[in-house]
Amino acid sequence: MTAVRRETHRLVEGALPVPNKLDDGNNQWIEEAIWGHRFYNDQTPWFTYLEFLHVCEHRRRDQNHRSLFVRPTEGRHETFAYAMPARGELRRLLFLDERLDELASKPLIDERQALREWLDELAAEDGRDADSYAYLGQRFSSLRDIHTAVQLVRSAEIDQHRGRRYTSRHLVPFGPAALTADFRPQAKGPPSHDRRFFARGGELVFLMLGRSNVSAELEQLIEERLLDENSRWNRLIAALQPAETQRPTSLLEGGYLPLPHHPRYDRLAEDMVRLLTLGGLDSENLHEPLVRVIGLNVLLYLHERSVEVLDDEPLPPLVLDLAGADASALRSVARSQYNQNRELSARAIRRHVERVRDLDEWRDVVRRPDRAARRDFFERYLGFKPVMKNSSRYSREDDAKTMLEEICELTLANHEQHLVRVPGVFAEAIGLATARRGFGRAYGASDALLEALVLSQVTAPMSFDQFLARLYERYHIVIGYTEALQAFSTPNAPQEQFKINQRRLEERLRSLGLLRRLSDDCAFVFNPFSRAGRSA
Amino acid sequence: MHKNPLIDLLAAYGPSSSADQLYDEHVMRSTEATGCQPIEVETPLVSHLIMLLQGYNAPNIVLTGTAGDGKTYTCRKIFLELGGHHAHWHSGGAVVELQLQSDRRLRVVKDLSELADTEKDRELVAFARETLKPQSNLSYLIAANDGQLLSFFRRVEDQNHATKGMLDLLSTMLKDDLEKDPAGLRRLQLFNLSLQTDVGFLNRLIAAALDRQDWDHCDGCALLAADICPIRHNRRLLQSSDNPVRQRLVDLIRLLAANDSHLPIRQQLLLIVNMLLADSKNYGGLLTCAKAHNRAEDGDCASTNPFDAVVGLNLRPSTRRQFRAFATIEALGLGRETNNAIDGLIIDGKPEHVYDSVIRSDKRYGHDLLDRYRQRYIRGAFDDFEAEINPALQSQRRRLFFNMIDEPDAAIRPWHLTVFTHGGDYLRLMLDLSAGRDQVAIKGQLIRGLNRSFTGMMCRTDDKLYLAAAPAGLSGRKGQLLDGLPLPARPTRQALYHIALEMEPTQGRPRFVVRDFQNNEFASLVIKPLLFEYLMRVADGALPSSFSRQCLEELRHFRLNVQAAFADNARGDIGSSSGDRVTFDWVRLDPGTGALVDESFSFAAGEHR
Repeated sequence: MTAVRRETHRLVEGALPVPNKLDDGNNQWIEEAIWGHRFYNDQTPWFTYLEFLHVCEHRRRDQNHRSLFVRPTEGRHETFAYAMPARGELRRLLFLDERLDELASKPLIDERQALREWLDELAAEDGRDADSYAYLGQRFSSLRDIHTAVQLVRSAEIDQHRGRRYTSRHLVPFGPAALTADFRPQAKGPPSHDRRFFARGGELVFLMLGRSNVSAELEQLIEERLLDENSRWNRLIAALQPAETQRPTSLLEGGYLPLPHHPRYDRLAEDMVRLLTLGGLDSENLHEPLVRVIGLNVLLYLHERSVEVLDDEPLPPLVLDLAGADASALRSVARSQYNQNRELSARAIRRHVERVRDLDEWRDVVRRPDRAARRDFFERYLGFKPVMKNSSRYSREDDAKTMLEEICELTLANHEQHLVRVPGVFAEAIGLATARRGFGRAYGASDALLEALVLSQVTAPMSFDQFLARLYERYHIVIGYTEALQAFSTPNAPQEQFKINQRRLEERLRSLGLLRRLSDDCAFVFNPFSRAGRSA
Repeated sequence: MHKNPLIDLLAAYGPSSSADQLYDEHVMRSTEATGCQPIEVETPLVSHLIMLLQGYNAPNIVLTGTAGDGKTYTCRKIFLELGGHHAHWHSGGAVVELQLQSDRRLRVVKDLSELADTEKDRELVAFARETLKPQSNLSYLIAANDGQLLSFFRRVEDQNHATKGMLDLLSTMLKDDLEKDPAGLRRLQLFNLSLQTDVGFLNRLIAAALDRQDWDHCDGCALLAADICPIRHNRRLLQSSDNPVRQRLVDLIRLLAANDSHLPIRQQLLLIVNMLLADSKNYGGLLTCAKAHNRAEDGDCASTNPFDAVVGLNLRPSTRRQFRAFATIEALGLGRETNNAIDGLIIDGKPEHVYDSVIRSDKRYGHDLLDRYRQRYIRGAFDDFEAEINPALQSQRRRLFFNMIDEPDAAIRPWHLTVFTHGGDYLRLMLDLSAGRDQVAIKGQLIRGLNRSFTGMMCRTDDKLYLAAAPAGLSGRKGQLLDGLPLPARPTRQALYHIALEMEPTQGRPRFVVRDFQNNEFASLVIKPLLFEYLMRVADGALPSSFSRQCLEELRHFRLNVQAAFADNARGDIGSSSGDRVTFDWVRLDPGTGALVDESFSFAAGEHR
């Protein structure tokens, strides 16, 4: 009984109870109560996408489940577990071994011999049996073919020039065989999963989509388009690995997402469905737009949750600066909107923490000198458990109000290092924001983002005005004057600048091959890939 | 002083600032005042539409297009030809109905923008209902601006069963230039007047202005007798088949239309009139007979130069800006674009025999207008080049564009004077393809340009197309991976697919088409003048990244469409039936021959877990 009461108090209104002692490792449960456990700034949109696919792939292979997503049950948070394959051999080939390049670059007297020797070397360096890599010699006709294959697959690495350790280098997820865990290299034992890049963001996306209004359609499309073992790329990547399972990481438990329903889950799912049903694009070319669409919807989810906690004040619209110096007032608005949005989450945390003052119990806790009761109160309502090095301070604290303040400060300090940065990291990664020296960060749109937006929003040709309205309605994006008037009581930039901004968008869409102007009154945004031909 | 009333009538079609607003009335008043008939040109479309409307189960017809392309005019012609009366047309309000034979009716909406909202609702909903009937005695003929049509149907999309789906249908038809409903559900035909590719139209328009009987009214004029009338001279320039001027003008408009810069008919006529009656003295705009007399007496040729008027230099800048024809032509760089050979001719007068035949030969607008500026430039006798010398050089360049013959092997070609340096080749390609002639050389260059763009390598291969890419289209990376084997330029016994160069069925532009051995179509790439220019320059040695983003995107979309089409057809995407060997094709450059070489490797891919 008591446990259940403990549960509901910590949470925001309407949130699901936390499953499986997921919070045991946390010494407060404030950010998690609002946004979930968790999103993290080192996990970029690409890594979020990869982690998400890992969960899907595990469930696909696991014969115990009939569906990819976990069917939510009323009042209960989903529980799921998954493991990720390390694929050490593949990574060694792609990112560690240098001998193959050497061998392929010069004429060889006896190629078969050189191949055999190299395969033995590989096995030796890996500390394994001599014929651990023999499969390469069986599947490929020559050393040069292996080299070509390796070069090809190498060219499909995500984020190529980061200089990461080889166990944190990942490929474009062409199929199940390309999905790799992220771990610290160690000599013995199962790989230890590194929660830095796969920090649960993908698990939360998994939950969002499972709770969305089109989850059934979506999971079918994901399986068909993104997890196809028979695509040529997947078979190539699989050919570079031994047939047995790849020493997976240990089983990981899924994360926590507070609200059972949210419009943003549905928007994300709908966008992904539309992308995955594009008939004119091969699956290989869907990953980039999918990553951007995920990035955009997740960052909006973070902001929307903040304003919901702040009692639904309106979300500062995302004014995109496309005209630069030609519309300087608008550019300043784009910057100030970015900054306003950045501040939302900290304000939401403060509001959430201070809400405890509205509780009846608060008056008791303030008046009574019982320290244990105070600590119990804070644990129940904020999940706060004092950590050793701080406990002396708090156990001495007689004043509940001061304690409250200090909890808030502690949370905010941590927040500044991590979660507050996520929307900014995401915005820059997907091309929604740019940083300019001396000016700061402002909202804008890269060509790749514009293309992702058109691909995910447009099926039949859509008039340009309609497209702008759609961007506002779905993403709070403001580019032209019509939307500016809807978004602001008084827009802080003149109409003329919004017109220039809109014209710039038109020019860019046209040069991207996504817009056609028929006459002065009529321009169409169209999707060159929305051929009928694939349907869920 | 002698006066030809035709001149005043023609001026009504010209760029006067009042003309734009109340165009039809302006012209109407002028015809009354001068007693001359307005300019009319036959279009095959009118006859075609009449035939449709008189036929069995006549469809509902929508005419759309930019303002000035004659939607309402066409409706009126049809109405009159089918037996309607002038008086009825003019008095009947925004919608008129006509009784046809055997109980059939034609309901004409003259101009959708003139209807009040309630009227619009009534008519368009009724129209939508009509299109759903498989048979009817009533046909609609509607002249509407595309934007308005779409915004109306967006508003009423869900209001009733008849209008549902009209928005998407019209959007698709407009965007893809379709004449009929591809699903065959609605009885409706759409004609976009801005896209009609009537090759002879502009010639007929010029003839309608310049060949008419009314020119005889000049008889008895002193200027005519002495052959010093600037108007008669400009008319000869535009009319004659001895010089390339008219054909070049027609080609110019044609090329612009192919590049999606269509000039509405009204603008085309304006351009012709402006060139004919050019008068730049004091920004006079257009000549009258009186002004023509003055210019002739003063021996002033510079003011009546049609090659300055073609970019509107005879007009005040504020007036010029109102008419898009001038900006569109100016954007081609006419006057600004040049090269060493051309400027060598204009400035140094070399080679002399060319100078004589091409510049000295023009007694009005050639050597005499150029020489004193040329001399001053050579001597350095000027302070401000831009103000004092350059206008004369630019003027001469424009004149050369219109007056030089285009020969494929000549050192100087007129299209070098524009940003579309390969414009002449593009037009020749259109001509050859329409006549069914194969253009092997240009096709080879285009393929070489494509290969260089896709692979990023300076190769020479021009008989096979290599659609190479980076894996997963990762942004900004060059690729050598092929989506299947290269496509040969001619159908061969070995290759399943090949790439053909044909004419586009709708707008008459060249396009590449990927076809299989049964001639089924898989994907196509329309070659507009901009893309043509890009590919030809790349084939000549320019570096792809130094050019237009739009071209690269068009190429990328084409490649992706081909890739998807092949995947659908289960070719190249191994894994289905035959065995478990997988093949990857890729391309490398042979540095010795400059040829692209396709290589492949394969591997055994059994069941993997």
